[in-house]
Amino acid sequence: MKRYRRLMGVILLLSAIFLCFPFSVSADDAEETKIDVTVPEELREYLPDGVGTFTPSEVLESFDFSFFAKLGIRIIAEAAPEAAKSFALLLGLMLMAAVLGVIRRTVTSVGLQAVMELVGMVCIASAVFSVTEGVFSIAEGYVSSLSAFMNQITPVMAGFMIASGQVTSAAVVSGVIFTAVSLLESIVANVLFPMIRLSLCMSLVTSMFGITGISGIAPMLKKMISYVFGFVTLCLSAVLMFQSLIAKSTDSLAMRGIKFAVGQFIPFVGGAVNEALSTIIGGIGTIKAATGVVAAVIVCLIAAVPLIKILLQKMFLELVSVCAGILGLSGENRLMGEVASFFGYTAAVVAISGVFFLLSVSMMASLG
Amino acid sequence: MNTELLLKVAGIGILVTVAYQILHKSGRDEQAMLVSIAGLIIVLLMLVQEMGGLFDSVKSIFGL
Amino acid sequence: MSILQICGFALLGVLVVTVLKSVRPEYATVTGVITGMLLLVFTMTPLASVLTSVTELAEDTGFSAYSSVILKSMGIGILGQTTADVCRDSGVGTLASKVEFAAKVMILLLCVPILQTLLGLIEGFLK
Repeated sequence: MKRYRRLMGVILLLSAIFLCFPFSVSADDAEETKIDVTVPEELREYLPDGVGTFTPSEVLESFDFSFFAKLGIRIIAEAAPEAAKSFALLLGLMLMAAVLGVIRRTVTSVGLQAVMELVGMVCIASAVFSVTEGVFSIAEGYVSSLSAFMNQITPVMAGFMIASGQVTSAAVVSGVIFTAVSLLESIVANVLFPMIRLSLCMSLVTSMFGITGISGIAPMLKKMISYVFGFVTLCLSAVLMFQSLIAKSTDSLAMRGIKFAVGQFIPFVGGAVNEALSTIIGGIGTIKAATGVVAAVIVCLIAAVPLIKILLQKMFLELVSVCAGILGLSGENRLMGEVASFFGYTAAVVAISGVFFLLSVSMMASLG
Repeated sequence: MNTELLLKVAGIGILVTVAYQILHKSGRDEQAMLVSIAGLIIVLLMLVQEMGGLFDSVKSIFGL
Repeated sequence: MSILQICGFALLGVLVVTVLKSVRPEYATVTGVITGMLLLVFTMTPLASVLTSVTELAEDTGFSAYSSVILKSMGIGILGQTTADVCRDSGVGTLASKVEFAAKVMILLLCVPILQTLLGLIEGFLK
């Protein structure tokens, strides 16, 4: 009963703060309560109706595991046709190249065979390239929208902490979060993504033309990418160390399932993400208790939607690559396999940043 | 099935051979030579016609 | 147009060529060439239907420029190969290699605009 009353008091405080703090955001409805304002436009449809006005019990009821499961299925169902379409295109083109390959093999002159192989490869490479651009723009748009949201939610949380009397820790925490957000954003936008793009081009060129001279560069670039990933994961672990305030959650069956799935699909950082997940769930629990529920759900959504889209595209690309192998187009098989692994790196970047921001939100909420 | 063309060519070849032998035996070598060349030219014309047909269909199929 | 008819026709051609080779060798080569051409013409019809269905599939994808390039290179390859074989059969091997070389060059020529598109895509990608 006491806990419930505290919760009510905290909710009232939050609403009071929201009414007092002016937010300069591009919301269409100024009449709605301020919580709705921070929701990015494209995510509004995923949240239940009337998210601006809720009672604590409704919140705890509606944002449970089945909500997330349904949400996940819905996101996949919406993203799947788009991904499937672009790869149906690739498949059609590949069939043509396969027919070319069959005829090519009946031609006895070796030189002619090589030239025809080149033609098929160049065509497929151009088609694949025009598709990969879409995936990268998803990933980059995600990072900027996530940092925009973080820059909005941090003053809210800081104001909340100030209202409960912790002025200095509010200042410190918001300073730390702002720095971390801008640091991560600049690392991802200026270092990680250009490096991924560059090494993707290198791998493409080497696998397309079978040039062995520059083949040393692509693995080196891959190594550099994994070093930067390692560095970011190190920072993540440092942040985790400071999360001793957040109680670890219980290992429920659902969370084990999610951890396993995450570890399978995301390279490099699967281990770190799994570690972080137990902390996150504890973090989420804390957020729930401290009324930052909507913010947590939004962060989850912002991270989950592009992640699911990218992983779907990756899966379809690997499917097409397997088809290429079956049709006997070994060069195209290699090409698409390389591009798929780079999609995996992009997904890993999205996952790291999502985990990082979720942790920051939970840290702010737990201190409040 | 265009077997007639092939058989025509074969027929012309055999005809020319026979005519060549007959003319050669009766001592008219120049005429024998002319006959064989004429036969060759006819066969080559048939070949060129067939080639034209082939190239046309390839052009239309492959859009060259 | 079954495989049996085609094989029968080819064997008939071989017989005629063998017969003519002993009497009039020049007729033999010409007959061989004609038989080859006729066989190619026969296979063009089923090939055309295969190619039209695959082209339709590729056209749905919107990458029709690429599919036409692939198709044309196929045609150049087949024609070049056939002609080179005829040259070789007639004993003029040098002509055969020249024809093959010319076919390679023509295919590369086709490839050039696609390569330019690809390089432009890579450039935009790296920005």
